[in-house]
Amino acid sequence: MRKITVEPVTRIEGHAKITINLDDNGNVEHAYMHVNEFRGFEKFCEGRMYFEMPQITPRICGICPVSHHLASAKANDALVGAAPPRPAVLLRELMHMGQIIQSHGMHFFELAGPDLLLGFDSDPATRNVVGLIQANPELATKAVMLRKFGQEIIRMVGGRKIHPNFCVPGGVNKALTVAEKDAIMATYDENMATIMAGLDIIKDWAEKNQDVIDEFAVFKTGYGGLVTDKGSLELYDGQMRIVNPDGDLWTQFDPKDYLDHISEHVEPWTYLKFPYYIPEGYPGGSYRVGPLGRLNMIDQIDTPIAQEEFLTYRAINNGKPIENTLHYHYARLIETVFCMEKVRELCEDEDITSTELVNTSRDYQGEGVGMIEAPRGTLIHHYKADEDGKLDKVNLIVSTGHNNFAMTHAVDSVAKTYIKNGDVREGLLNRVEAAIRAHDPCLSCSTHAVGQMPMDVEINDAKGQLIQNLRRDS
Amino acid sequence: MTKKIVIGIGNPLRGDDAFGYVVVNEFNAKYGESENSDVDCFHMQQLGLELLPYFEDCETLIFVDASVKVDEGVVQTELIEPGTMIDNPVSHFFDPETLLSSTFALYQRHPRTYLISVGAKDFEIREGLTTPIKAVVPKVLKEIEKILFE
Repeated sequence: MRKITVEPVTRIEGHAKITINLDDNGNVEHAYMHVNEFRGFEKFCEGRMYFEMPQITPRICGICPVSHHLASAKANDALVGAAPPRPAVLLRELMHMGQIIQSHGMHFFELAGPDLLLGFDSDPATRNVVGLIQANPELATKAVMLRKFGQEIIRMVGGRKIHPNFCVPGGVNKALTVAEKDAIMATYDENMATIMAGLDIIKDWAEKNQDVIDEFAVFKTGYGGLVTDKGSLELYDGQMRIVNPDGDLWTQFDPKDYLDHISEHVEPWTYLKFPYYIPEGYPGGSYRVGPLGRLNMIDQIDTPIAQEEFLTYRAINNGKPIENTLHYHYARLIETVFCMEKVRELCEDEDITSTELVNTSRDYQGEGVGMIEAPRGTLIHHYKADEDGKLDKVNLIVSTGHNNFAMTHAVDSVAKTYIKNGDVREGLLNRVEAAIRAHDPCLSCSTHAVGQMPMDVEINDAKGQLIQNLRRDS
Repeated sequence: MTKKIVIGIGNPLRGDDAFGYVVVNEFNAKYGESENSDVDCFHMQQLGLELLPYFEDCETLIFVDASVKVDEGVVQTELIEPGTMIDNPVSHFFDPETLLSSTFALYQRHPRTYLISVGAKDFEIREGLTTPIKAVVPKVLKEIEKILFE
């Protein structure tokens, strides 16, 4: 048996290794995704005061700090028993839309783009964002400006561009001025056009690469995410819904009851756990979250352009859940359209510039759950505090954790499809990584890690003898 | 656009990785509202492509970061040039060289760029710099002032 190791996976945040075990014929026996960094933020936060958490948890990762900030704030609202006033909810949601727009936009154009637009088998030296900029500088400029648009929303709403100290228990601490609202809308049309251009790109790519999409990590799982009371796409609030592989309801519940429905399985070869729907057990109760998961479990989208795109998308599998991992990229752009339409809707709401920002009443509960749809999927912050507000227990289930089973399974599936008879060409290995990248994982969040190192691929035989060494450095 | 930019990189909750964060706070405390406020000095937990528009007209750019590649407590200042992605395959996090490559690819120019690294070993989940690293903050501030104002 030969073993192929890919460490770390390129173009995702954090630290992961892939091990691919080949049999004596050079075909894949099994592939694993290992996450090697130990998560320590939950223990670090024990003993801290609950109101510090919206400033502490965004430091877990520099990619999705706003998601952690908002989930933490929602947990605190519940912990102190103070629901924010409507204007504060609107402002938090507007910040959240900015976060998703910049994150989804970055992922499509900068992370997935090199594979989709330059090709899986293109030269690794240029199959990256710099190569993309050189190949299409006009598109690259628009992508950079789209990310800046999302970041500017965060800055206008929160008061600073990096780690805004915006949420307080029961509300927010800054109003949005009319001038700031107008500044957000000033570049709305051009950025919406960029996203629609991205949608055209992915639809065109999908049409030309249907055979790739149909054989690349296609498998059944459940699907989960937040929904409105009408079963519509919901990214800030609502209830969590999990459906089975056929799209039929497994469960729908209030976020505070998540432990009655979700548990975590542990494997010895990775620090990242495997959440699953309890009645179905593991692995049968595994579910995917994030764009593909969300669009597979909702009934509709409440904004018109995104709804139209959603209907076209769902027709791919005649209204049933879409199982093709590469369609994460398509789903991601539909969500970005939704977020842009929500930005307009929120900015047109007269309460968005209100100064009624905080509910100062208190009905201290000592425990709170904050659930939100981060760009990558469902994010859960759960705090338990003593009577003085000092945290006894912190539980964080991050989006990438929910997708752990799916990513591992996708790696195994792709490896078995593309590595045969010992043929381990460079483009094949990138396809294995692409299976993970489609989920847009944030391993820093899921394991709260830091750091990176050059990629090193070792091919070992069953006895651990080095057969071949592939490196991605100079 | 600001002609001079200083960016401190790192996670303030990961031990000495907070070095860049501490330095920019010290710089802004000294120069924030003064005559030298033509310098834009800020902290980034990790670098991303949204910085490119800021670099379009920038003349002098300084990155400050803790590094495992330098001996502990040693301050290393180097002029850096655009680098290739092979050296940094992770795009959620860009290194300064890759940002310069991207800047050049978009604008056909890039700022004169320095990387000030301080050698560090402690990156555990905790707050505060270790003593040897804290001790070199004044030295790094002087290095920044020398680049920007002399």
